[in-house]
Amino acid sequence: MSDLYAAYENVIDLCLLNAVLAFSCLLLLRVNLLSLATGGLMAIGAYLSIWLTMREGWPFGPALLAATGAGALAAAGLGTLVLRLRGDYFAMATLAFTEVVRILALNADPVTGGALGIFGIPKYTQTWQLLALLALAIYLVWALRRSSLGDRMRAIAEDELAVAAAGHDVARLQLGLFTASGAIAGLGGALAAHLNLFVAPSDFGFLRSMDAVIAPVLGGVWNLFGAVVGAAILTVLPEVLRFSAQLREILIGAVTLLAVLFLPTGIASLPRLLLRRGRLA
Amino acid sequence: MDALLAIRGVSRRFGGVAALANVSFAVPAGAIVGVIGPNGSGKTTLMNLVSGVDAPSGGEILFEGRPVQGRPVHRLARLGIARTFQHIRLVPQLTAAENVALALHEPEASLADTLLRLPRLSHIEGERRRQAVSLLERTGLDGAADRPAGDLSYGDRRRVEIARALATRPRLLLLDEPAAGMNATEKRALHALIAGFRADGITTVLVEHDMDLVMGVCDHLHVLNQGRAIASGPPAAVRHDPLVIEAYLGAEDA
Repeated sequence: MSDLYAAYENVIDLCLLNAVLAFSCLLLLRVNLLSLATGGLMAIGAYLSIWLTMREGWPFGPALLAATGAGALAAAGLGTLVLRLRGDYFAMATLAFTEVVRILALNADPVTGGALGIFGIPKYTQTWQLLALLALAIYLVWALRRSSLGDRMRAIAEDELAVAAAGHDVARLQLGLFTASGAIAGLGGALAAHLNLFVAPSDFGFLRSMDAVIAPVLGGVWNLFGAVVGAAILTVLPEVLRFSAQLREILIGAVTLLAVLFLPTGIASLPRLLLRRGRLA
Repeated sequence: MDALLAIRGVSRRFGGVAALANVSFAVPAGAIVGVIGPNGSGKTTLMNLVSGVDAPSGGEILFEGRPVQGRPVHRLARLGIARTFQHIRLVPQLTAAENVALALHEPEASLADTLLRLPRLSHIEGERRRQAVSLLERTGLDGAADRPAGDLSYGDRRRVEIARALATRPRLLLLDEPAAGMNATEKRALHALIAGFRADGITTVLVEHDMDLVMGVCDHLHVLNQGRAIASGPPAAVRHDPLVIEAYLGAEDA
């Protein structure tokens, strides 16, 4: 078992990290928000934490806290500006944010190393930290369901006007969740930065944001383990298909498409569906 | 100033089309006021303006003497203006009781209660459920509390919507075609329910096509046609108003 862990430590860490990021998007998908800001928010957390640990000599813990706060603050600011936009426009505005951050990072050589990136980042991120964070995320989503707040989120996904007519400020709840998801993304960015020796602005672009959104959709937005299953598939599949770069992209696209078409409740709901079918047969 | 709701010269234009043009009337506290008119006469637009779903292009809407036009829906709901929708807006995956509980504001669990699962959470959620079930009882749906709203009949869903509107403890209740899709028995129950609002201090504005219900339960009617108020008065008088008869017959000709 420990041999297995040693051999696959890197993949396991990535799975856990991506699952945490998937949770940050899942929270938003549950209230009808498709955000592509994850990459940009991660970059803010990552570069802040790198600066604090490598230049200012901060310990890892306080640097993680600072990255979390910065992610939350950036999301609160961004959310205040763009949450009045609906649907496609909101998604586009959050993507623009990620691109702006990426281009700023490309040009801020003293902090980010520009396009060449930063080498020799100390590896502080431990598997248990990621595991604990993921456990916390799962717990929070579990605590939300079967609660009035969870019901309200469910209702917003279905019909925002009905929730407003019930006397709830939908925009305020969405801003709160966007801020929380920004905190997770900022923290995730810092953990990602200290997972590898190397970080470049291209690590936090469009693809990063897309992966974080696709994972919960693939696994199931309304399933407690949807984000974990989706992130695991999206992380492991490219590793397995390493022999062919083209096949990789095609197969990941095909799996996502098939899941959305034939398993709209997500891959994580497969066991329950099969169980039900077995009982009916 | 006994009017709970006063609509003063309200207009709503969509592009060049006037959905409502200079409509004025007052709704006295405790009354049951009907708004009728042919399809497309502006009834639902008026409901949307009063409930904050939409903002008027001109004019004033006073609730308890304060101008409220253009305020957001959730603020008006907290001020005491509740509504139901012509096209039912329930969450099909949630049970009838959970749909009603969406609109309860007292007691409400804090974020800490919810996320930390504090002991008082179950007490709060239990009380919310008790209130939701008692509101469902009032609309005659006590048996359906734990059924998903999506599984209920059309008429029952309308009653869940009314129970949800009542959960906000409204002083003004706007009902948009509540009898649509109801059978004769359900309509009789609805009639009794609406008549009962008077005793609870709830003022009702009823938009409805079912003339038996409107004529039977309302104290006063306002008739809209092509965005204009063409008549108003007690049901018996409005029924014989030549302008009203022409508006309805004209609409049928077209």
